[in-house]
Amino acid sequence: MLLVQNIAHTYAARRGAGTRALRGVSLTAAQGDVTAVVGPNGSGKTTLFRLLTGVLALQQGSITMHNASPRNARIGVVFQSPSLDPHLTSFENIRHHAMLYGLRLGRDDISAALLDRLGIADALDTRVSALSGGFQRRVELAKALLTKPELLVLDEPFTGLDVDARESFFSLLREVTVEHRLVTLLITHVLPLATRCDRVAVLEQGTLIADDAPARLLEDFGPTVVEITTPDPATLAAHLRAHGDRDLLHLREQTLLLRNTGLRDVASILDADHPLVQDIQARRPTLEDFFIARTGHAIARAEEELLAA
Amino acid sequence: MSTMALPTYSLWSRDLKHFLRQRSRVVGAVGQPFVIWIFLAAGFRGSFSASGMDYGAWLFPGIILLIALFAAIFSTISIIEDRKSGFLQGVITSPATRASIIWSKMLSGTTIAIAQSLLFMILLPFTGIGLTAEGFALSFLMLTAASMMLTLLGFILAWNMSSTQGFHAIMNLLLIPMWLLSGAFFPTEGASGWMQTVMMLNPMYYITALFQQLFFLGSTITFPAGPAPWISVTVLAAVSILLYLYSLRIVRTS
Repeated sequence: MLLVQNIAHTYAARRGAGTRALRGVSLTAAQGDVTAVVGPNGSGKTTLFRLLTGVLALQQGSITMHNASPRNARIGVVFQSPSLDPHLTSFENIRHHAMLYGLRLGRDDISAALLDRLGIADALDTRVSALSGGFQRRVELAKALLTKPELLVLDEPFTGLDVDARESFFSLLREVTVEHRLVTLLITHVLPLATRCDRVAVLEQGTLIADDAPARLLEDFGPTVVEITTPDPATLAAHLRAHGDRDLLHLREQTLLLRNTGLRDVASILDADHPLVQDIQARRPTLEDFFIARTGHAIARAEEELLAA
Repeated sequence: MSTMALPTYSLWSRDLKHFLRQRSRVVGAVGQPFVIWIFLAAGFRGSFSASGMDYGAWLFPGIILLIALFAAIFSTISIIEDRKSGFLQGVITSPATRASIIWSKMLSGTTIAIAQSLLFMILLPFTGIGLTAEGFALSFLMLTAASMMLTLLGFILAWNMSSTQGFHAIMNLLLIPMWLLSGAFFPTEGASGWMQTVMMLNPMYYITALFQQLFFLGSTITFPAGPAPWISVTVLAAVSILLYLYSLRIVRTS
């Protein structure tokens, strides 16, 4: 079990008080679980990552792994930008990395089952520069797993991957987390995948605003929500409220969200050809909905990523 | 031990693989000192006069030190590339001690310098220098120590740099003048008074003087007396220790 208790971090400034990146954050992550850490840019995710991996020294609070300092535990790290040496083969990258952890790895020491699971068995002798982004991510994961970590920390591992590669990498991550009884912390902007994690910690301006199972975070929204695109949200909201006590959320500039309802219920109030309705759809609630409900704004980059995807 | 020796070996052997797999770098590293020595030796042959020596022979040990300087530069420039490519972050978050990063660079810079220098020695028969076994052993021991010092200097410069262009600028401004003003390129005694003072403030001056004396040890050629060997050794040791301690400080605090 990873236990983060009341950690805070302030980046010193040459003049002035500095920037407070984390303010008293506490969270837990269990063995065999993938715990997602989400939040917009500047929310403190990267600082949390740096504290967990020992790049930054703790200024306040404590981090323990199985009741001991994480320095005593093996930590596998997958970075946002690749940390592979493009001039070396996949196997050489893995071997050199293992040596940094005090391990001498021969080819026979690498489990064939793990290589098959990661799908890189045939790429061991290929130079990394010749591999696709998806394969490079798999080699990164192999590199992190072969040092037999107890804690696996991934910082935006889906960056640069297409939708299929993301999906495949995420499935792989879940499988190895369960199989190796890892404590996996996934720092990500990709909210649809975070929603499928065992637990989600939501950061906003250095503060933890939620830490729970995704289903628990979204239970206030009901099984379905209705999203309406309109040129005049204020007038439409007033129209809807006139027909009952609606659980309304101003989602984006021209979008309203109705919680705990279905399309049939809304259709009884709004005609499909209502002049204020440009588009209407029922869908499952998302972490983005949760974040907007809590903070009043979106996780902007995640939106961009989803649109790009 | 497992956080120092094995990581140092890992990073050192990786640096050597890198060097050998970059064909242009190997060609450049081997060809550059050959070209510089041949052109300078031929160019200054008629106009040079010191200790009754041919300029090519006189310059020869200086070119070996230039090889060490270039090896130090190119092995430490990879720090900037490793930071950019993301490789360095993997090293920093591993249990490997930060000192292993310094030692691996020192050893790879020195290994490459020694290998290149040995290759350059192919030209020795054309200089008329009668190198003795004792001179060879002592001068290459000195070269090892000098390479380590130069790599430490390159390490410190590269660690704080964000671009290879910036490193090249510093190299041209600091490292090349260090060699030019070391007494490797022209004799100190012929330089003007203020220039001699500047040269004596340059640690490379002491290293070069001792290296030249050791290189010609036991041969018929005698170099003009420079600083006493113990002064050169003291300067080299003191500068190396200071650079190492400063390197440790910057890798541990950044």
